[in-house]
Amino acid sequence: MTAIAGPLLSATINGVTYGATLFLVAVGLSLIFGVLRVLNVAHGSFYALGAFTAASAWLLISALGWPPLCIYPALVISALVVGVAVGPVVERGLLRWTFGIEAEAARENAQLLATYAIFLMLEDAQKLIWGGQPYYSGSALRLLGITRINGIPYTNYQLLLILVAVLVLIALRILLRGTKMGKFVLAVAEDPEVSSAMGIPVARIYTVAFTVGAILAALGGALASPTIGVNTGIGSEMIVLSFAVVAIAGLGQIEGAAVAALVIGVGHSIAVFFFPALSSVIPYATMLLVLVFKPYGLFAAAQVRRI
Amino acid sequence: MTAGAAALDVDGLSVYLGGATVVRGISLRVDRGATVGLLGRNGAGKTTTLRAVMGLVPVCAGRVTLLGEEVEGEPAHWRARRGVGYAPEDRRMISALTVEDNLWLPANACGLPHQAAAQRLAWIFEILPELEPLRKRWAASLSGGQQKIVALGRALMAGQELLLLDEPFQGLAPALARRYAEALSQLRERDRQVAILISESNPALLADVAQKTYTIERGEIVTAT
Amino acid sequence: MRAVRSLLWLAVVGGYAVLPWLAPSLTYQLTIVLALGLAALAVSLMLQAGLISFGHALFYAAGAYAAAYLGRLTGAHVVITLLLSSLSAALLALIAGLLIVRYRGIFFAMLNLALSMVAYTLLLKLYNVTGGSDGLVVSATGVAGYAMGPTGLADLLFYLALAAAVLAAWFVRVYLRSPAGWALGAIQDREIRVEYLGVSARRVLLVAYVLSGGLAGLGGAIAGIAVGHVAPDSAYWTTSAGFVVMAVLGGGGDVFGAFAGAALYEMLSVFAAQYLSSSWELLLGVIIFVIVRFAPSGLWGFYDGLWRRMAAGER
Repeated sequence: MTAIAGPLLSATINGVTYGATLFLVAVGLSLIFGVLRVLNVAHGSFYALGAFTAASAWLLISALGWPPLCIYPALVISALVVGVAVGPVVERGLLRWTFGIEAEAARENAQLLATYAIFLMLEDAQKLIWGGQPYYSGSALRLLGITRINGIPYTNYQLLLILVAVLVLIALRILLRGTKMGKFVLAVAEDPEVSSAMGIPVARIYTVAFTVGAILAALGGALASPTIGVNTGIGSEMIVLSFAVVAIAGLGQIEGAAVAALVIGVGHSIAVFFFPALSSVIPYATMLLVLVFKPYGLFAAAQVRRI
Repeated sequence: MTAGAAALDVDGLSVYLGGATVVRGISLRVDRGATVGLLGRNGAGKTTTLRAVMGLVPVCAGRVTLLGEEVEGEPAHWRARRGVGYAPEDRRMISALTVEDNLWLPANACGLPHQAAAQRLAWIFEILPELEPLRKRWAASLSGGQQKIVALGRALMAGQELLLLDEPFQGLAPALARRYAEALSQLRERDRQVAILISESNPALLADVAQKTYTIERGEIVTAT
Repeated sequence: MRAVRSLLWLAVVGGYAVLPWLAPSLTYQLTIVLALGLAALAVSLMLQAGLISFGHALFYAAGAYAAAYLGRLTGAHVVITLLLSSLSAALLALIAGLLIVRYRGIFFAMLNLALSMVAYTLLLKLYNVTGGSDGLVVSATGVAGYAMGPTGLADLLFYLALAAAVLAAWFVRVYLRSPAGWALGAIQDREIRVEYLGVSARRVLLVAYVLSGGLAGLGGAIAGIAVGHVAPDSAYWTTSAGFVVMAVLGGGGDVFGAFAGAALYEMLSVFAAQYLSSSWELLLGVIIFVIVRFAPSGLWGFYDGLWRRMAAGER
């Protein structure tokens, strides 16, 4: 193994792990945009809420003296709880009125501002509920043991994260193309008006898609929580990162979001090895570069297919 | 459903859209089993009338009665479930799905039992046999004319009581237009209950299929023959 | 009626000018309001074309950092510092604008965001040049070599900021009523028609974008000197979003709306920091939501509506 290849492999594995989280959040954002045409600025807050809830779940499991392995189902349950509790309320209560605005520019702007207002509210809600101090649940990371690849140790949890992201990608694909509900979602994403004329309850599909998107963001946060310090501010950082992923892929693209998340994840990790100072520029620089040459993203070839 | 009621009864319908009153006080009636034409030039208000009946645009005055029940403020998907099928002029296939999936969408959305839906589909394939070989194709890969036929099939799926066909002959090659008209008359022979409202700008094309024609000009009905 | 309104504006500006005499402890806050108002004005200029920028903190930070560097050149006149800082931000806007004016809607918002986030990370990481997360000291520059006491400088800066704000507001008002300003407003929903007139929409936008960048940079430079310090946070996307909020609070309708929005925003933040230390964003979020939902034309719309009603009553 050459001097370069070792760190490169290591960077790639770390990058794929990072990309996996990024994918989960970004694909939720993309789903919401694809179906509702709303760029959800509050999406990062769903991620943060998922992370905080999961961190609390860890504390609770420790306090109750339950077996530590309970944390894994608890991560998923946290995500579901957050998504189901917040998604429908936000979509029905706070966003639905914007769908009636006829002029496209005015509607988009109202949605950007409304979701930003929701972001602000949720940011403070986090502070009120969880206080200002960071939460660490890192021991959940080591429960599954360690795998050595070329002598470098990786937690199996990292590999599990990648597996979950792949499963979500496959599940989304199957659900969208293979179930009645999925086909309704595809139809609404493409043409809400004709969908309603075919008997599809468009408003309900909006709520479903928004909630699933919120669950995915919360799942990203819950699964990332053992690997990060859960702190206020993680939401505002994640929203711009997932914007970058979605913009690179093309708004509404699902498989594309996976590719873009991988590119950003691996690019970021490689940069950490070689130019650590510039690593955090990678996502935004990639986004700029892509948008200069492909204004609608890498995979948004035709306007017709959005999911 | 009220016995003996018309499939569609529109009374004094007005629609205000994009800063203008596009439809002004239109009244028309489509009896069960009847084929009625709505004739008018581009911009006369035909499409808006059909869309208002379907519930796709808000109505500012007047009543729409479907099968004897007033449907004011009812969203489009409820009207579809009452048995109203709509084929828009620009076809609007769901291009991310196959032809078969497109045809199944209204059946699933309106909650038709699987058995009934499969029978309905088989029946549609009898009237529109050219659809059968296209089943597995992506809707986006079809020609415009083929998409028109799929759109008719899709409208038939939900439209067991009333079909709203918006300029079905528009943009069809003459041979295809003839085939479309033939399919409509076949539909008539097999199903004497379904009512059809067709909008069209060419009176010659309506003459063969419609028993009654309303002419619309600048949002108002000027003649009914 | 128009004369009354003009007189009222004079009174508002005059009243604002004497506030530091009445309450010297407020001078700093009053200067910051003007600086934020300039940045909000910059954002509301783009709103005229229906474009929301979630990245104008880039130019705000550029102005502040430029002021920090210029402050190191001893003896630089504070007026010259302000002018040059604003110009550097405008130059940056010209370079960025060449790319950005090709986009509309969400993509415009996101590209601005991406650019400002690139700048934010660079400011944070290029420690040797930018001081990293500590930021830079913006040293108070005296007037043409004369050393001034801190109070004198604060007062001077306040009046310079007020003059800059009045000039900028007047200039933007004139600009918006010129053909170029009309074309800008028309881009929002009739872009094709603008192009039919033989006007390049991109050029119109580029001019507005450069002007907007310069205004935000001027605001940043004023704030930088007033605070005496600048940090990368000034380029973070939430700073940009704050400007958008001010512009929307004020209402995009007129240049004074931006300043009213900035004043309200700053007042809310000072009030909330005092009484609701941990829920200030919650309050702000609720206010923004209520305004977007129920009063999309903001404070200005409210004020303008009041006058219209009075004018109607007179007739």
